[in-house]
Amino acid sequence: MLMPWHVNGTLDAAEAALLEAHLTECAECRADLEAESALRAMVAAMPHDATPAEPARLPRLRQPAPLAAPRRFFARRVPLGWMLAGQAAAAAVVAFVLVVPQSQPAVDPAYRLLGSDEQAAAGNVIVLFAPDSAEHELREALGQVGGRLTDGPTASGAYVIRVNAADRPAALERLRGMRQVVLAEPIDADGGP
Amino acid sequence: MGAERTDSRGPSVAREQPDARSDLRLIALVGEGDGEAFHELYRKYQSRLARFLSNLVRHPHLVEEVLDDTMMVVWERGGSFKGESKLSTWIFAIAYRKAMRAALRHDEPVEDKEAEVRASGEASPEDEYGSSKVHGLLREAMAELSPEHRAVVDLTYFHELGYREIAEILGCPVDTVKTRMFYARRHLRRCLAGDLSDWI
Repeated sequence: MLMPWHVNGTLDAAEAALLEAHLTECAECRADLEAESALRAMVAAMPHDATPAEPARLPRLRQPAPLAAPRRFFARRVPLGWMLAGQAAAAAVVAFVLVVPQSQPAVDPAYRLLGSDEQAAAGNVIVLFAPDSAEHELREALGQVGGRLTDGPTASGAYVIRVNAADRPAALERLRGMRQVVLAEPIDADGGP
Repeated sequence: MGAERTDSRGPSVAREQPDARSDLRLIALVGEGDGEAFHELYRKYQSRLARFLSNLVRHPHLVEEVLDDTMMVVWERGGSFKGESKLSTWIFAIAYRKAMRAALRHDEPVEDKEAEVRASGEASPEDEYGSSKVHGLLREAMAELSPEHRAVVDLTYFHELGYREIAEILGCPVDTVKTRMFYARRHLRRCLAGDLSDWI
């Protein structure tokens, strides 16, 4: 029963060991193994009728709607080029926000930019946790680097934390090594790389 | 993507599964609405999904439609992916459910009505694969299997997945996967009879 998965190498060690032990003493199964390998090779080599044209066809996507709204990506067909241009513009805005705001006054009290005034000014690391991270894992991560949460979640779900400036390089390295951390970057100049 | 692979693999050979860390990074970005990450994910899975789906729904236009529907779900629900299974398992499971629903909606036959035509020796796009008798027999034999049996065969032999992962994708017990594979292999080997020895 397990021969196909022995041939494709997905059995766990115990299953594979049992099967291999049996193969050493069963000529019939050894012959079966050869036939199984041949069948696997033939099926794997079969072409399918739906081979995508080259270059790979991409769906045309529309810009994502605000997070709260349902997002029907394919509902409105917008050429890919426009979408990518929009993303480039969005990336430029993010870069601007990350680099410039420290010297910018708060424009409107209704908005708070990373690095501007009060809480955000105190943060010096931005951290993005894996989507499946539990709250205790976030606390654990902060505890391990002696960090204090100063802002977040941001629109992208990231958190701004404050760590001791002198320890920041080590804290960043430690954060980046954590399973639940997708991204950890410095966001101001003190103790920068 | 991998249709040209003909090597005979054993347990010790590393398999070409998508890099799990890279998958996690991409789906995290997709969950945040990153279209570029989505496109990267789409390109990564497009070919494998097309192959998988072509064993479940017969018409190429339907394969394309189901593939797009599948990836739309990935885009819309990327943020809800919890990492409880591999990303590939999650995506293939979505594709399987979509395909089975599409097949029902379009009242697709389980058996391949074109098999007889192809077996007659008429030129077909598959000619590059080989016009030998054994290839024709295999194609016919595969077409005679149900979509569920074809899915297990293809996921095992081409996509090189373990039976537990296949059970997750198809939403059935592992014993069902083993049984389907048992009957599918018996059917294929009977149809190929002595011709299989040419490949050994």
